[in-house]
Parts: sequence; structure tokens; C-alpha cells
Amino acid sequence: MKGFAQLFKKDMESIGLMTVLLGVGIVLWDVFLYTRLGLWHSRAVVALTMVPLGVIVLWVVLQAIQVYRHEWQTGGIYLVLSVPQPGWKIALSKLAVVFASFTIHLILATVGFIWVLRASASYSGGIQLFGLAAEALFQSGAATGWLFKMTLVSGFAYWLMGLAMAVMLQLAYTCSRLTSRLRFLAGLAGFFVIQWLVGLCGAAGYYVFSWVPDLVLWVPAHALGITDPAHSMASLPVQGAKVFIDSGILLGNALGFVLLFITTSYLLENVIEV
Amino acid sequence: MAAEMLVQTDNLMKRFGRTKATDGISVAIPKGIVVGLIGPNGSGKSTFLKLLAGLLRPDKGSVKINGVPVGLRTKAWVSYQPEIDHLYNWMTVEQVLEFAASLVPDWRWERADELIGFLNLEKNAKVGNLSKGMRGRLKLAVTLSRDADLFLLDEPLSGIDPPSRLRIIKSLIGGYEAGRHTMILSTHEVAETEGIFDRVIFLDEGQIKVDEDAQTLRSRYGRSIQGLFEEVYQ
Repeated sequence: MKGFAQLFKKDMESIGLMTVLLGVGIVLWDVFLYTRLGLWHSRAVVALTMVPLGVIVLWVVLQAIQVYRHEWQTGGIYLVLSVPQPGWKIALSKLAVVFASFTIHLILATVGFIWVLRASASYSGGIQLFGLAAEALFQSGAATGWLFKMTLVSGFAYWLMGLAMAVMLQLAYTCSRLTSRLRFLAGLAGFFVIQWLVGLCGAAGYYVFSWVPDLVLWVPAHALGITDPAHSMASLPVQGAKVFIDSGILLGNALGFVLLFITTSYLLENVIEV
Repeated sequence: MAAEMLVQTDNLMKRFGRTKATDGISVAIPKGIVVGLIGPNGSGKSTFLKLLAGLLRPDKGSVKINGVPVGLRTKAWVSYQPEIDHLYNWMTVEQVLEFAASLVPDWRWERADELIGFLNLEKNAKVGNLSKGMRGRLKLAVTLSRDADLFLLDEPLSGIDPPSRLRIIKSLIGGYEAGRHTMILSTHEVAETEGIFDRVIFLDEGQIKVDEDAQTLRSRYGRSIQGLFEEVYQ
């Protein structure tokens, strides 16, 4: 594990400064929005707290590639590939740093969102949906539970999406290094093929894992737009609908991503030339 | 006999597009000698070393270290120094050593400390702030601090100032244990290094032109390896 720890530390250093800068940027953005409550429309302020969520996905895209590109730019790839370190360790350290960076930013963005959302409840005169959500989040029993659960589920799904994106992009970048010319096009083509393969794995999973029970999410009636949103959520009867998510597709996709990671590791260890 | 050979290549072929970088190289190098891999630019020296290090894969033929096809396992026995700067600029000398030490099973800290002292390297200095000569010295320290069976040094003197060259050559001799370590050193700076060669391989256009014991060559032709080098590549 010593080798992995050093690889991780080295890869983290390569994106560390930008990770810190983006983290500070997210915090400053949320502080700025907090100061706008009461001055700007509350709904707009709360909506703007979600901007970092979009930015950090772009960040994952850039960093997933940069952490590999950096090796070729610095010549460090000569050292990394000439020592007896298995491909999976090299690939895992590069995936882990992107994921760690994404996790930090996701936590900061989520905390900022909740902070501003909560504060916006004091200015809820003009807002409806976010005011309701804020109210529910901090005042209502059953609805609060549901909101917390949904926040966790959404956050987890978003988190996994970041990981999946990084796995696909890193394999696409590795594929691009298999050619000596038109690397960008090779990487782009690789990315589309990889997406198609993941889709294929999901489809296969639908049949292969059909015996696995589906995931069930309970969605309150108001969240489906059944009730009048002008009413307070706290006074709503606790009723709603069940939403089924096919576990087979999810498992198929998860296996697909594992296979992609194994492929990246294999390419690094046995195919990539420098 | 073959089992005693450290390096064995058979009809080794590597192409880049239409160019044959190595064209059917077959050599057997025993343990414990210093081999000078000599040739002009583009003769296939770097490609040959990369094939031994496992950084390139042959299109044809085979390459084995200790009888094992080159791969993850053989990398544990081979310490490779590329011609280019391959150390991270933002690291300090000490961080480079720690990083390299964590990746290999045969790191010798006492040897690393000895080399750092001998090569006048400051442990706290940042790689990015080192001169080319000092970076060359650091690369050498990283390569020679291992207790590998085979050391592959690609143009260790290229672009290095004369005082650094002398230090580098002394370091090569200092850590080398005849009979145990094997060293393949590619260069076209023959005059300064020929004294340490036991065997010389002349490469041209990816093919072996001469492969002989260094002393035999000198005796037979009555001139230095540098003299032969000039004659062969004229």
C-alpha cells in the first residue's frame, strides 16, 4: 500500500491547488448568495446555489483527463510505467484523487445549498416551491424525513455519476494514447464507444439480474404535483406513490464500470507505450 | 548456457510507421558486465532500451530478462533512466527519492544518501529549480539507488556540462558491482565513457553493426572505441 499511498499523494499534488481554489470559490459563491437574500428574489438566490453542482461536474471532466495528461506532459509516465507497479494501482490512484476532489466539492456545494435554503425560509414571502422545501426540511416530520432521504439519494447518485464519468473519461484518454496521431479524435471516439458499452451492460443487466428486487422510492403526493403547492407541506396527509428503479440495469451498469476500470488498468500495464 | 544470460533478445523488431527503429536485433548479454550501446541519433538505441524496460512492446521477436518475457515481473529487476527529464518539477529532491523508493522493492537508502552527497544535490531543492546538469545527476541518483540486476541508462551524459559528466561517470563506477550488476549504457559521447565498457554494441538503422568485447576491439583495430565509432559512422 506504500506505493499506492505515494502515487495518490503525487496525483493529489498535481491537482491539489486547483482543488483548493475551486473549494474556496464554492464557499465564496455561497457566502455571496447568502448576502443577497432579501435583496434579490429568494427563489433566484436558492437556484443560484446549484450552479457549483454544474461546475464541479465540468471539473471532474477536466481533472479526470488532466491527472493522466500531466504524466505525459511531465515525462513522469516513464517513471511510473518502468517500475513494478501493477496497472490497477496506477489507475486507482488517478481515479481516487479525482473522486476525492469531487467529493470535497460536492460536500461544500451541498452544505452551501442547504445553508442558503434554510436562510431563505425567512424570506419565503415571494417563494413557493423552495419555501415549501425549506419549511418541510426544517419543520415537518414525515416530509422532512423524505426530503433528507431524497437529498441523500440524489447526492449519492450524483456522487456515483461523477465516479462513472471519471472512469469513462480516463479509459477514453488511455485509449487516445494508443495512437500516435489524431489522439483527440481517438479519445472522443473511444468515449462514445465506452458510453455505448455501458448502455449495453445496463441492458444486459436488465435480463441477467431480473431476479434482484427493484429499488423502491416513496414519493409524497405533493412532490408528484398532485396537491396544491400553496398549502403548507406540514399539513398534508402523508400519502404518495411508489417509484420503482430497476436494480438489474443499475447492477449491469455498475459491472460495466468495473470492467472499464479493469480495461484501463490492463492497458496501462500491458499495452500503453511511451 | 542460455540460462546464464541476463538479457536475451531474438529478432527484435519495432516499427514506428514505416520506420524500423529496431530491425531484427538478437543479442545475449550475460550478468555482471557493462555494455556500451553506441550509435548516432536515430540508430535505435533508445528504442532498444525501452523494449528492455517494458515501455515499448516488440512488433516481432522476443525480449527476455532472466529468461522471463518483459513485463511487470521483469520491471522488478530493471532500473531504467530515460533520456528525457521524467521527474516532477514540483517535488523536492527528497520527495523524488521517497516517491521512487516507495515504488520499487530494491531501494537502497544508504546508496541514495551516498549518491546525493557525492553528486552535490540539496535534498530540499526543488527539481524545477535545478539546472539541467543537476537534474541529470538526480536522475542518475534515482536510477542507481536501486539494487537492480540490470541498469539501463539512456544517454546519461546528453546535454550535461563537463564537471557533471565526470561526476556521473564516477557514480556509475562507484556503485557498480562487477559480476552482480549489469549495465547497458547508450551514448554517442564515446570518448568519456569507453573506459568503463566491457562490451560494445554498435547500432545503425536499427541493426547491430558490431558486437564485441571492448578490449578485443581495441586490440584488433589498434585504436580506441571512439576512433572506431568515428570510422564506422563516417
